[in-house]
Amino acid sequence: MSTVPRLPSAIADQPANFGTILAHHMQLATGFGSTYATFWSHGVLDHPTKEATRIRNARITDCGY
Amino acid sequence: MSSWLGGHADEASLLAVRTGLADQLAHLRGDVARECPGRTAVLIERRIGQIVGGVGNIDEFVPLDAAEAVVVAVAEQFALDVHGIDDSLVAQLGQHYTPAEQVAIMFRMAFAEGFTKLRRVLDLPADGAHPVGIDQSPNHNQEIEGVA
Repeated sequence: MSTVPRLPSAIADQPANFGTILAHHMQLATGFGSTYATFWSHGVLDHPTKEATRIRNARITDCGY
Repeated sequence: MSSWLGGHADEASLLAVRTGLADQLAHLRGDVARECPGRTAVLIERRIGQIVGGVGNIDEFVPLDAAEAVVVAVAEQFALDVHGIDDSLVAQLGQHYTPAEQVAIMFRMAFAEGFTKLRRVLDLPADGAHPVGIDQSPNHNQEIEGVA
């Protein structure tokens, strides 16, 4: 995993991270945020299963989250 | 062909099970496709679909211009081993596209890979796998209409 973000932050005085890089395109950032919120807060799948899947996926793909 | 998950015939039918989420996903995928510059949205989908799903190719889109060639190179590495996308490759992308365009391009790759894998795992056909309404023709240039 790259330890140094490869795009700059779109928000002055804030470090480059997933959120501040997505902020380069606020329309997509907003759409992603609302979709992700729906995925996590609604649905038929229990939260532990969602989180276990997320963590396993993150470990395999070397995601830092 | 129908999926073993409830007998769904295609991706749209499967996603419709989760109406609220499916609608948001469709809008987001459409927005991402529209925000990808030039032919990059369809190039990404075709090349990743070819690598991950074994369906389609980009033969009809060649020759690629220099910027498109970088996008395809990144898409190939994205699908094969994302860790192989190094500083040099990203820097090349930055020579042709703004950060906002790069965000759209990377979203497009993520959706293309994820939904190609979803279709493959659930045995859903690649046909009709373009709910974002993108123009699949080689000559189209950012003319994207209609969002499912």
